[in-house]
Amino acid sequence: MSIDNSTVKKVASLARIEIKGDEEDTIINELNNIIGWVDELQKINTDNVEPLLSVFNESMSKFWRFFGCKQIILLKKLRKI
Amino acid sequence: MAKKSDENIANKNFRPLEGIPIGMKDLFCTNGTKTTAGSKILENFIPFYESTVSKNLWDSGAVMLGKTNMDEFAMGSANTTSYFGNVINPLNPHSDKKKKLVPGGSSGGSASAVSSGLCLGATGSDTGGSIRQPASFCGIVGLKPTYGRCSRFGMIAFASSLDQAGPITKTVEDSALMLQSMVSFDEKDSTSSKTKIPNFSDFKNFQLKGKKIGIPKEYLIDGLNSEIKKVWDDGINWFKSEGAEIKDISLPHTKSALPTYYVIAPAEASANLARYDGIRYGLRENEKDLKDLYQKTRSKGFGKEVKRRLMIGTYVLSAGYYDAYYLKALKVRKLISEDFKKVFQTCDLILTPTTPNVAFPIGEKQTDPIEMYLNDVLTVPASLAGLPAISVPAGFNNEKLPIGLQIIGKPFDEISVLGGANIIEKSRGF
Repeated sequence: MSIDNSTVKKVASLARIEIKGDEEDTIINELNNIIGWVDELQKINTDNVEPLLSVFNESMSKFWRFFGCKQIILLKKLRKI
Repeated sequence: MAKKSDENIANKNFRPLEGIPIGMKDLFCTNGTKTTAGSKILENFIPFYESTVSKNLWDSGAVMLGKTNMDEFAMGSANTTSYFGNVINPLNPHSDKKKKLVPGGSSGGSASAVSSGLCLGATGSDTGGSIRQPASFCGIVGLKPTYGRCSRFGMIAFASSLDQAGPITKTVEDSALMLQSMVSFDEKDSTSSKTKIPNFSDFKNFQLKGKKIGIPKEYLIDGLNSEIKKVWDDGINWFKSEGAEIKDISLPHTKSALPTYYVIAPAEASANLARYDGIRYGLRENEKDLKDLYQKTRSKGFGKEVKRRLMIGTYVLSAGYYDAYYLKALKVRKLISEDFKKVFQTCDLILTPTTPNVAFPIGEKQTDPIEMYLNDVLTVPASLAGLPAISVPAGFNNEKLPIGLQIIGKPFDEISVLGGANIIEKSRGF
């Protein structure tokens, strides 16, 4: 997949980064090189492989997951009043 | 801080790091002290809260000498992307003194400060090698603990599923002492681990007799410097003579780790750095229109490498490319992590070089971004798997530039990692 002018403009706009006319060619070039290099991942067979978002696998209690930490601190404070 | 330490010392009331002067990487928020992450966009940012890691260190009696320079938002491997200028490696055995060397990055300021003796230790942060690589280039010890050991609260985020703080010190013993004061379970970080914190100084009781050390064949990469290969062989022999069993192992997805990292880390960075928009804090370029204000502020505030990575990150997350790049990379990350899991069923530690090359002159490897990224090829796999890993000086090349060896351990087994490093420190003969 190669990145052209319009893709770079679109991505820059999504990232809220301004790209000046004279920088455009260099950026297109660099991104194509990097994405081309990353493309080698496509060769790896990942059928039936679960994506790994984070190595952290300690489960938070349902209560924590539901309320989040700030709310719990707030609740504790309220209980004291 | 220093005053309080003086009082404590006078009263013979010592905390673990009482009065020890340290450097603080400039991405740990320090209450009332400017914290820039090496970026123009945070040039005048003064936090009103303290990062957990720095607070833990102050509570242990450490005293801050200063904040240390770094690659902008920790994105770099040579410390040449900071808005405030390059960091120079204090080691320079070249006869041509004008030829300045890079200290490695992104914790280059911390590594240089420790290596030159400006402070006894310094904090670093490691996303893909940012502690271990500069430690190797500067001839000192750098430890990246297991993901979740140190709280990320108050650390300026680069890639949240990878970022981990750790100590940069002169010796393995100092590394254990400083790590002890940095770690804690922290309810302010949802990925902070509740795993029991051991006494890291127990590494001194670590014995190699009967232990199995894995030597991964995939780390013998094409570009590996021959002098580094020789030091790696020395390391294997030192471990052998201490009674360890050396095993040839395979981590088949090693080659894919770097491209995987360069999808995941920029993707996470593009989300994390979205907060720098000129509204609540940091630089602001005034424009009439809100979108223009965002764009002008970010374009002026971020440097070239940061913009490059934000573009990559935004691209791999954008509609139409998400599955092909981001999701694919997460699946390959799983395979990399499984490789390590399998190997650690039969091995206790893995021994590899830290970097494929020694410190290079400033200005080199700057034209092609991928060439710079290749500096981290040997450190990135352990980062993706969240494993503890250390770089310890093990030898020199013919120009007297330091060469570091990396030891990777099982999750939360920093003690064995430190223990292995201690044996290298004792065997290397300097």
